[in-house]
Amino acid sequence: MSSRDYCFCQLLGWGTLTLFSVISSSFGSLHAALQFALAKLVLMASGLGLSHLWRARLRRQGWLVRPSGFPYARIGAGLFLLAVAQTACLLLSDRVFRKGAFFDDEPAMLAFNIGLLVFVWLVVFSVWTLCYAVAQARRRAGRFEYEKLRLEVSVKDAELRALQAQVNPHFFFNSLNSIRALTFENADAAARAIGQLAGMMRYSLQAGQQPLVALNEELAAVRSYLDMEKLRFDERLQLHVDVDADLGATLLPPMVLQTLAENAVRHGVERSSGPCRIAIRAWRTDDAVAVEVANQGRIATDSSSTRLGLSNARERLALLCGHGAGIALVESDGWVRACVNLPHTSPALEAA
Amino acid sequence: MNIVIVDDERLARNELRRLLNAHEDVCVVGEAACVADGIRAVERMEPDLVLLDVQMPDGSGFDLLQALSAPPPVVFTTAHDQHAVRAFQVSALDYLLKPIEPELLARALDKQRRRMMLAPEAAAQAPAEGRIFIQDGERCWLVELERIMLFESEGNYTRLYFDGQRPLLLRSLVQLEARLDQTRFLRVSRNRIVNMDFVEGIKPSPGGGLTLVLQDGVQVPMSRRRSVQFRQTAQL
Repeated sequence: MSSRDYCFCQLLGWGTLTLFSVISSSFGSLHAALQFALAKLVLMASGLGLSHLWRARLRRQGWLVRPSGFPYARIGAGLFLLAVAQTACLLLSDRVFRKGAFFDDEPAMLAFNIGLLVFVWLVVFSVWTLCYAVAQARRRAGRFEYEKLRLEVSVKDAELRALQAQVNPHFFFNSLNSIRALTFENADAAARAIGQLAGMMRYSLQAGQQPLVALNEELAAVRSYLDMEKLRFDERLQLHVDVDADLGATLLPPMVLQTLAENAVRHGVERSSGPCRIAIRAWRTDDAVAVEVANQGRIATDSSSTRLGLSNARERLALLCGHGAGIALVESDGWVRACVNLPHTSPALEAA
Repeated sequence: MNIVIVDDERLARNELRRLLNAHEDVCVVGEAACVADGIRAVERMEPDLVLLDVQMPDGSGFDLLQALSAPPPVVFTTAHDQHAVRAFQVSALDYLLKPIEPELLARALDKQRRRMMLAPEAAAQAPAEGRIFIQDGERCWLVELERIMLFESEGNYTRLYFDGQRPLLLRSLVQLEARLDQTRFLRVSRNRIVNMDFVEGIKPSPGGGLTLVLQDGVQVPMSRRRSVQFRQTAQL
């Protein structure tokens, strides 16, 4: 229920109530009828105001959305207070506009009438609250459906992206070309390269099937990948890896470091005629594990970089490791550093 | 056939050399690992064919061709570059996919052999003429100057008419004119140069000048001053 719907329902409800009470009464003169209508109008305003305050309270306290059930006593007390307040408004308006016609009865009858009024208003506000609760429940049900659908789409999306993150064809065919050259130059090196390429392919094929992998598994695949690239780029690619063994079990979505390593090659090594260093480090911080893939060079600002790989990796991290997980990309001292943050509170580490 | 190889990967260059070894008439006269070295190698060796990688650290194969005043015939080599391959396909440029199939390389070499046999003296006589590399948006062409029918100045750019194509080139008419053979190409007005091989008819125009009718029915008005000159030379 949007706030526009709420306003509409409020005006319709209170307007109808007021209209009914005005036309169901009979009056001797036009003057009396006008006075009565004015009093009812004031009453409608107070009803609107009180119910609006009541809504604010319901929302703030969350009385209608508690999984443990409604706090009936508190709601009942609230409704009673509303009925009393509304009755007081009625009496006040009666005094002001109709010179206290209500108070003409004898005291016993007056007390009974006031009690009756409180009861009637209690019923009115109860019905109001019921209607509000039903509308809220329907709205939540709709939103829940939507959230469920969105989550399903996200999971499918993540699977698809993991598949897309597999070995890129440019790398694959270049590697085959290097290996073919190697078979004539250095048969042993060619055989090793085929083993590495096979391992990498197998890893990336499996990557789509599991949501999280251990850091050392991902690192092994990244090393294979960078060894293959080293074949292509020779001394242009210089690799340094510094990861503590006790961080190897840290879980992260597959192909995230792979994506960062591919970016480091594409934007660092491929663009550099001379040697270009790639450094992979991992360390513990107060509340997280950080893994950094850095390359010498500058952040690509031209159109050749779509940032698609990076944003895919970011989305998968957020989806699978929760908020707080992410990738920061910074440039400093001639290095481009992509730093993956894996918070301890994330499911990735709880499972570890 | 003299060939220059431009590729930033040592193994890829070795692989090309190995594949070319099977062809006795082929001689690899130069190798380069980047665009800048590639430009120098091509300018120094003036090869019959360049095997050119697309992506290199300091630019692309297209950059290399654009930097050359008279680019030689080229066969692009690439592993898998969707963007470049599409450019080759729409532009009918020769390309080979790595790892290169020996038969496809043989076919590309054959094509060049035929080209060299068709115009052996032309290549020897007019080295300054040759080819021009044009990149307009996604499409590119490596076209012989003698196939270009008309050059039309558009500010800093020049529009070229050939084979039903009309791409725009970022070079002024004056820059281009310096490369053109004066016996074949005629400056007909301030902003147009015509290839006389493509002129099918000449008719007088109302202002007293002449209008050239080219193939494809394109009509090119000649300025009055040029018309007078043209009449004089034609009468001689």
